[in-house]
Amino acid sequence: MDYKGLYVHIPFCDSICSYCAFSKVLKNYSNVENYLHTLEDEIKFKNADKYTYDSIFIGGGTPTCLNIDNLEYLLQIISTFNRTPDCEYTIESNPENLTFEKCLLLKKYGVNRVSIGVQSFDLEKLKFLNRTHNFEIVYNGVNNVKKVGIHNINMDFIYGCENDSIELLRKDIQKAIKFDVTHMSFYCLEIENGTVLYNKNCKVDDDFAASLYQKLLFELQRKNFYRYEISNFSKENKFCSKHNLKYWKFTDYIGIGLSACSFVDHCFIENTKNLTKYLNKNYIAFENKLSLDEEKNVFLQQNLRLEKGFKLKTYRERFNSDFLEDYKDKIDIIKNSLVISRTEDVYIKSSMLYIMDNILVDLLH
Amino acid sequence: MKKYPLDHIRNFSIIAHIDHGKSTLADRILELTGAVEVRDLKEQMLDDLELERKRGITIKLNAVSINYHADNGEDYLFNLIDTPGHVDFTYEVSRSLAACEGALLVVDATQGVEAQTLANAYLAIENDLTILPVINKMDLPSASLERTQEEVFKALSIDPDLCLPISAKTGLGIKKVLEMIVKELPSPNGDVNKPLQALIFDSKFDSYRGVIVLIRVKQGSIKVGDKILLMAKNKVYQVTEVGIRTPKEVRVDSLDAGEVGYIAAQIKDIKDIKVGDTITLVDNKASEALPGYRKINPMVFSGLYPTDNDDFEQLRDALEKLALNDSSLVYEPETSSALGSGFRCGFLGLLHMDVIQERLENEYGIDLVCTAPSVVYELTMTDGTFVRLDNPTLFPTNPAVIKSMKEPMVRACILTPSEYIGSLMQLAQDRRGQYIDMKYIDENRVELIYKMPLSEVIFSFFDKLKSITAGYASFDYEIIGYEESDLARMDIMLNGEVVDALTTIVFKKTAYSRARKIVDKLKDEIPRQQFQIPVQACINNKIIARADIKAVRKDVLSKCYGGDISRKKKLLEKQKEGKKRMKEFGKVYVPQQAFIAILSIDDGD
Repeated sequence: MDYKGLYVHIPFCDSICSYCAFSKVLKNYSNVENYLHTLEDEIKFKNADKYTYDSIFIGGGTPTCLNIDNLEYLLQIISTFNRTPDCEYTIESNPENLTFEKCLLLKKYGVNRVSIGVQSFDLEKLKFLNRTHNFEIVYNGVNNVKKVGIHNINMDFIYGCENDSIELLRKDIQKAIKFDVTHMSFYCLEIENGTVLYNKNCKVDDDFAASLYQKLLFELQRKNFYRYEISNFSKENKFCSKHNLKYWKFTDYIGIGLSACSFVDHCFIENTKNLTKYLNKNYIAFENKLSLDEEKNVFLQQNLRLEKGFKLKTYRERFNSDFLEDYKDKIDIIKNSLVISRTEDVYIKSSMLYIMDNILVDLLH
Repeated sequence: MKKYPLDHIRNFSIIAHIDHGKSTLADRILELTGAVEVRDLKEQMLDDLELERKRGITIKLNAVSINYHADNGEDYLFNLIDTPGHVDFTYEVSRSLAACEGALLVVDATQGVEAQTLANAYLAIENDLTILPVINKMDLPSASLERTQEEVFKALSIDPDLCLPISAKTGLGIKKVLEMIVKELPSPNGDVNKPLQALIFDSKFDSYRGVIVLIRVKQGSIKVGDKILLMAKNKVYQVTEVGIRTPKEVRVDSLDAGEVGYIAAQIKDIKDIKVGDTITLVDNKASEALPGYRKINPMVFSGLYPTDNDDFEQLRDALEKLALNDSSLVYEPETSSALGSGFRCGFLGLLHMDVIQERLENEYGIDLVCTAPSVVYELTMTDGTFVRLDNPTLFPTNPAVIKSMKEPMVRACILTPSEYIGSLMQLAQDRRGQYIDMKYIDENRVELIYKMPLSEVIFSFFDKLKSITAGYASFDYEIIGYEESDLARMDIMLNGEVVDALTTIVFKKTAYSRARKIVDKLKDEIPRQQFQIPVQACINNKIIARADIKAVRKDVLSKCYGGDISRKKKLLEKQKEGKKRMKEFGKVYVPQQAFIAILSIDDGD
């Protein structure tokens, strides 16, 4: 039996971050309750409760900004799903929401991993990102998470902002390590249409971002955080995000909630990003059954984000054909960038992972 | 169709500077005379091509015969011969004017006299036409009748009282124009009993009937069954159809002296039909041809290559089809080591080139890479051979074998508000212009005359002129011959390899600054790739400028966007599509814009 991943999207936030392009709205209580009821309906509509899950991820938005009653209601909905005993159960959070009371609640319903949107500890940078927390708030939040017994903690950081420097990032890393986190993500600031930064006409210089990234790699390695995906670093193998690996390995996941995406039975489904439509139970915006060739392409597009890529065997078993045969002509073009090891691992050369799209363009059909 | 006595026929053209409302006036005349029902009236009826309507310009000329019931109670036949409004087609304009006795000169009341107003009016005067000036766009608030009348008077010595104020858009004054055509324009004359002399002023290809030839019968008569001789081409055909356009084609028994119409004669090759040639009868030959036939040489050449080499045959077919209706388009297959197989095409001028390129892309759906346009140089070698060079890559790599070099010169006429004189003189000088004359048309408008190399005109001169003068200056040129020049072949190397499609011929003295700009521009236009790429310009194997395209360092979506794989998928597909549209040189991908970008290099910046 194949276990699946579950993603639940909570689009509400207390304030809007200047860089965020995810589906989100400012919190409004009547909407929240309405939304949670709609979620329940969507679960029935999609038969999402017929599967067993070995990873659950509640993302957003800011799921932890829900008030305690709504949060419990949400956790109750999810508690009806079948889970494997070792199921990774993550919730995304903002540091200021991590009260002891909420943490207790999370623990009670089996959440065993908390992902905290720290972004930085530098106040000026936080202001630029329109984030309201500071070191002390993060400190208290993490403390509460640990006090209730959740020790698998991720922190999200952003780099590439105007006044960034490796010194600043190094300080961020040091502080994160003091909190004894198990996982860190470093995402490059991307200025996307519809964000505050986009409207302010902010730009991120690619060369600058690339230099920061190279230094970051070095710093994190020195602290024994190893890169397993372009932007993701974990302390030990077992702390790699099981849920995100479903995306990268491109195995089945079910998404429910506004804008959530699913991939199940070779079918890619994208939910609407329009809250009104969603609340009117028009869940699905787009549905596409991938052809075999398409699925192979997406498999590569996703898997090659991983430091270790994929195994020839995995490809063979999944598609009943040989990667080296399917992409024969293309592999030759990118032979300087792609490694096919004796152990039959296929991955992009470590030094070229940051220009992987350039390589994918030549590889994909 | 009834016959009109000669004194009830008026053959005339409408001439104007671009955008002054020539085609709109023609539309109104068609509408008012009832030649076209209002419901059938598309904007700009005489502009057949989609592109003509889109650009608001007339590329191919056209003719139409209409009945006008005048105030005196009598019916007149108006033959309205439309003319192209652009400098590239001056010769065609002059031929269509030769088919007329009169011309309506349209002048925009908000713009006044412009460069092509003058150029076209001079052509009309050369052809002994009676000019009837109309001041158009009087409906606009900024229209000034008095100022425009005064400009017309100063520039062309035409009595201001003769200038009719009209608005082709609203119909104001059009009725008066029609009456003036009857009263003021001369009727044709010519003896119907003399041997046939018919002037060819346009042609187009029809796949069923062969070439349709538009003619003006100067003397004699032509009917179905006649054996005709094309005097310059010395070809014989038998007439299968004679008719007039109203604008629908209507067959008639014959076309007689003074009349305008079309003939068909199962002519398969449009190259046989040359604008300006004379048609006569084999059995009753005219002793001499009408004045006018002149072989027109294309002056601007460019290499046209399909982005996808598989489209080569498709491009050949498309060029063949375009050439069917455009005898001035010439093309020959050529091969570039960089771009593969394509065609070296010759055009009358820049607009002609743009129009052809655009039609190939829009009407025939072929993605093109076009090389920088080049003029035709004349080289004399040390061994005495003489070469007309229309392709920069044929320029000898060893300059020692060249004895002398000549390049084509133009007489450029710029009409401008006087406040821009200083900057325009600077521009002309930067483009190696030699000052010839300056005339005031009125207290604030000036005509500047310069002699300049054609090669300087074809590189963004027009755009620059417009931007310096906020669009107020207008410009026209005519080719006046060849002059000695000091030229060199400049090659561009990407990653150490010469890209022949980027080779240009440059004036030595300005070669360094041009080279600098070209390499910088290419550096910006060529996307970064996985390795650093030097871009070098060299003359005689000596590198005179270099810029480096740095290696790409980031090309990845950092975030994973939950399970949204389609976002990345679409992005990659777009990237892939973009790459497909690029040309690969060695290992370097060059987008089409790079070839276009070097056209906009400006020595003045």
